[in-house]
Amino acid sequence: MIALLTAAWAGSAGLYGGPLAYRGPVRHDLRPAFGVWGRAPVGPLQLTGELLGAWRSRASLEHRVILGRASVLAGVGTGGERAHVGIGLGPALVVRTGSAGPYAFTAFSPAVRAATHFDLHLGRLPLAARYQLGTTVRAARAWDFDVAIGLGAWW
Amino acid sequence: MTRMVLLAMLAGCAPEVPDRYLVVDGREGVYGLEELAIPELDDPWRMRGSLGDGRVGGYIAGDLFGGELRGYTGGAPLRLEYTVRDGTGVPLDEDGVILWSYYHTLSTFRGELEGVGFDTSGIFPVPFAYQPSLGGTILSSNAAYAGDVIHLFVLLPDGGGDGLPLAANPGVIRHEFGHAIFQSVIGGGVGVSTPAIALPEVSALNEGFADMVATLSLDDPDFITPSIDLAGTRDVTGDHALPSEDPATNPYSRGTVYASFTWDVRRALDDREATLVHVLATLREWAADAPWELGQPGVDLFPGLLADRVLADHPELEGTLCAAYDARFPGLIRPSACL
Repeated sequence: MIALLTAAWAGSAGLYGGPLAYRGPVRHDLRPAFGVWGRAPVGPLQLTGELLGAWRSRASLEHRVILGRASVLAGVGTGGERAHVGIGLGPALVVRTGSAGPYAFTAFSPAVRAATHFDLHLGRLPLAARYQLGTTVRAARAWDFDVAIGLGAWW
Repeated sequence: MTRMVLLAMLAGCAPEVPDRYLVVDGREGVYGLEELAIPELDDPWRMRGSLGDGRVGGYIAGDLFGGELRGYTGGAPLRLEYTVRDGTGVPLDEDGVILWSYYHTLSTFRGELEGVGFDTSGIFPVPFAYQPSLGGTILSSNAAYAGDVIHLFVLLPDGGGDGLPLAANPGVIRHEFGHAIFQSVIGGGVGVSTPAIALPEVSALNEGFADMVATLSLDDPDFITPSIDLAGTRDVTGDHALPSEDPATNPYSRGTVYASFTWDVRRALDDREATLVHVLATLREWAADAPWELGQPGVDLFPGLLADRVLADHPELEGTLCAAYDARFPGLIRPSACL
């Protein structure tokens, strides 16, 4: 409990990147993904907002997709001046926009996301390194997974 | 304007059936995306229709390429995601383009074969497995037809890269369907045990025959190049001739010699469709003799039978075809019409 309360002092925000294992109709495709995160204490909870983008293109099939994901996770964490580890759960919205041949398309999928993070305060500078692992469930058989490392601000 | 689509996947609802589909089509070496109908595809979401139903995953026991198959088990229903724009199905993932292209190729090829009098009713429907596990392996970029014991099209995972995925390449699917034709003629049906097809020499003719129907039906002598650069080893306009590599280790080498001679015939006749008709008839004639039952595969008889058949109708081509035969098959007994 003490650890939970001390965690309320720390927040972080920054940019991260890593592989996204996106579950298509058949398999998980690995795609490079980049995003931003922001974490702040709200009462006894940690609130984390994320925006993530990934893409995939296959010229021979004239098919291109950009995937975007927005999520807000409420969770708990523990840590202090040097580090913070936490886990969160919340709603997400996945949007896929792209083109196939002459046609453009945009599709939205409501989702649920869970993620765990480890934020490390870098020395005396107000910098944070982030290590993150998460999963996003868009449907019964559509589980995406992602891992990322990032760099940002610590306060 | 972009149509906004809220997917109904969570509710498990199937999208509407489009009038047309974005599929890879083309001929003569030029392939691209087109909007075409697939009348036989009743359920584009799950890939079900009168040409055969598809499943994803599952397990193929045995060696697909070694002729020792014990069956296909498992597999789950497909659930492609797509939207419909102006009556055209637009897939949200590459898999939709690949699978619709596969089905479209079967649809058009069936129509073409029926158009030249070849009855495909004994072959369809042919179920397919998309990206199954093969003897414990899931990474293999290829497509295949298995007609010995089981009757199944196998579309293996795409290896990525710049090329056209093999399962979306119209020539590759036609080639594989050529194996289904070969099986149905040689084995007297599909899905029946046919040990002769596993003989190395017969396997070489099987590969050559599959290349014949693919190259002739598309009028494309090098249909694989859009997917994989094989350095001309399968280009039937090349100077391929016997002796070939040992069919036991590389059946494609001798098969390409057979297919190259057939392309010589196509050029001499200047009629790909007529050549295809001759090829189909020659296969029946060769199979009727059942030379392998005497312990002699006799696959080298095939090009001679083809030459005799063509020269019976076109004696004016004797000089051209006999010279082509001599160049491809030095030392072999010449066709009767060339003696």
